Amino acid sequence: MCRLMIADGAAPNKVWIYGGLLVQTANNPACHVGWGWHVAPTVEVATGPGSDTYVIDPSLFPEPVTKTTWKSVQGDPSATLVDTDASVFYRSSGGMLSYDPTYTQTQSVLTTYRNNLKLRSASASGPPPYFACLTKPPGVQWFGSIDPNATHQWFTWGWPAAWHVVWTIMPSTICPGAPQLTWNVEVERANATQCTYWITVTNLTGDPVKFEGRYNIL
Amino acid sequence: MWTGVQWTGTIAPNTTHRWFTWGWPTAWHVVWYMMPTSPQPGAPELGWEVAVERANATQCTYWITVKNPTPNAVTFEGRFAVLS
Repeated sequence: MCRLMIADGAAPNKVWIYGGLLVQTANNPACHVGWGWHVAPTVEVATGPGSDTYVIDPSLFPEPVTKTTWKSVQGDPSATLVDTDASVFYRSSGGMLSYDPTYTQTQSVLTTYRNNLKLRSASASGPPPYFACLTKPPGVQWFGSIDPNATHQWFTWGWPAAWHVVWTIMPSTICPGAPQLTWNVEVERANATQCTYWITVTNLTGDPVKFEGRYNIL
Repeated sequence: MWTGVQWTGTIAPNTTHRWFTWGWPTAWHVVWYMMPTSPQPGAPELGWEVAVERANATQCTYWITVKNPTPNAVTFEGRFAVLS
């Protein structure tokens, strides 16, 4: 991340955290991950008279956060934070530093974890996020998963026919660059007062996709 | 709920064309629909399909495929409604 940020003209540093870290996440089938240490880029953000340090860590937050907030979600109030410049590739808890100026080790580590993620995504666990770790938000009728290049139909029954209901689909699996899912909706009048919606979802990609099946009552 | 016009387009006779629009918050429930602005009474002028891509943790891209089944060019508004 620091390499990309520097290439984009930023001047990041790094913040390291050491402790018995335990992070709740929907991106692991166990709904949590344990770490002995963790690291993320930081940037100084001008705030008028001075500046504040923000941590950019997409593994934990969708937006920049303060170091206090960053530490607060890692499960160990007594964890210690250490700042270094961006050139440090690894810092041991004892303070030993190693560097990776050509990003060779960086690429190797990223490849290892990327392959691990691909293997898990192709296993019975499927890709993240994992539904057992998620709370269903308002307006979400179901969490679905659909195989590569597949079409699958879901139905949901007992809806009052007097309600005006629209259905949409939102992928949970991130895969930028092309459309992932399309859908169409059919409806069955089950009795005088109720109907059943049949929602057919098509996965346009070569990878499994998880999604939210959403509704709105107009 | 609020509504808007994301783009205006023209589609050639008997053709299908796809538009995309990016940076939409995934937390929003959005529906898409088309409205012709060139009257051609007597038959349907436009049909459409929507596909969606999760671009990152908080944003998505909508891909809207519009079909003009008529023998004439059709101008239209690409409309959306944010339901929640």
